[in-house]
Amino acid sequence: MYDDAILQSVVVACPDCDLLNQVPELVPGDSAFCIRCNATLARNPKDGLERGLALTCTAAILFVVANVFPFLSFGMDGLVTHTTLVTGIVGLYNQGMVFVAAVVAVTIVIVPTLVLVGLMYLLFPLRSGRCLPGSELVIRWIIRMYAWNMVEVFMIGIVVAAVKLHTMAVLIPGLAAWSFMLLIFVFAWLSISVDVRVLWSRLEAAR
Amino acid sequence: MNTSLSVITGRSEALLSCHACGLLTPCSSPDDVPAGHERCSRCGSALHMRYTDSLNRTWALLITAVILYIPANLLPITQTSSLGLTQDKTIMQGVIYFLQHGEWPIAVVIFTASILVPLLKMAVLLYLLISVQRGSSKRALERTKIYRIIEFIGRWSMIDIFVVVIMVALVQLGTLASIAAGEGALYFCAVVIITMFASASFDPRLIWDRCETDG
Ligand SMILES: [Zn+2]
Ligand SMILES: [Zn+2]
Repeated sequence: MYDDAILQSVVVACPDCDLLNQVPELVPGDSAFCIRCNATLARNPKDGLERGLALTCTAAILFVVANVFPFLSFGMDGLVTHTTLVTGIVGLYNQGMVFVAAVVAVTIVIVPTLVLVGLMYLLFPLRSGRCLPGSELVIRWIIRMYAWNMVEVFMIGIVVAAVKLHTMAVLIPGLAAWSFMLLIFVFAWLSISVDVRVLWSRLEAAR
Repeated sequence: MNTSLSVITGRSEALLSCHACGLLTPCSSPDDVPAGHERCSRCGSALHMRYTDSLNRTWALLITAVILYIPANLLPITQTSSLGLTQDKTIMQGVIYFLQHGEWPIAVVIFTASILVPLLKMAVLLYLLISVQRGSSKRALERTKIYRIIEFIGRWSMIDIFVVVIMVALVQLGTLASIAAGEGALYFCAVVIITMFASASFDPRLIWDRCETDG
């Protein structure tokens, strides 16, 4: 479609060193870097919107599975516990670790949910060149929250906990564990497929 | 005006760069615009020449993190009860336990994520703050690169907290065995969060400001 001319040639100040750079028109798949400090200034990912939307929907499905189904089943002396993410957070809360429980809830449940819902709110209408009210606010919040999505760190946590406990019990990874595993790749792919500069220029064109 | 002819920056041209969308907005003077008084015409974000009070905020957060790092390492991060016996373990005791049991990959992961990364992050922030305040113009590129590294690795320190959450969720078998989070987990979690805020409040452009005035 109109992917080609989406980023016009523009002057930007480097976010890391403030040098003014002339960013040329980018063909899909190209990136521009600061000539002084090599910070990424803009990217125009191939099929940005379509791929971004497909990955957002995939991530949303995996994320629901990761939260609803048990991620580890734990058997010790005939007793089997199935654990979901929510059990862990509630367990911490019951032990009086309210702050830690809140941090885990924010970084593993709330932020990923808001980021995914926000992306859908932007990408679905933008695909057909439209935008919904409050889109500017949604992008600003996605940028602000992005660093606080820690799903991939949690996955490494599952692996470490499994190795820690394997001597004292039988551990069976559940459906949610595989979902978390896939989410690492989907989130990584998503963050290179969606570029905020592209979203801004699309949004300007849609208004 | 800028003393060096080759370096033209947003500041030297009195242009405010929007941190959210990158749009440049002209301002009357290159020195600080009062916080929140000007807004980006494209996205409505508040515009600043540099992050508001960047050095003071980063110092305050860094000092808080350093202080909390002490109880985070001295207090137990987990309390394991098994058949009436309660055992407390600090982060370092956990690492030693795994080394003794030959589980060195886990020991390395926990040592790196829980001890090395937070220490490295605090040391780098300290170095960046001091070098900016002393007005150093040396090795700006290297300092920007290490800043990007600590921005990227900070979140991985949360691994141990997540391991505790998972174990708390799993090992809840009443009198048989149970694992609870210790006080140390609270402080450690605070250290990770506060150092993330500290590196986010540090403005890397301050590293380069001095290079321009020195020409
Ligand atoms: Zn730069
Ligand atoms: Zn803006």
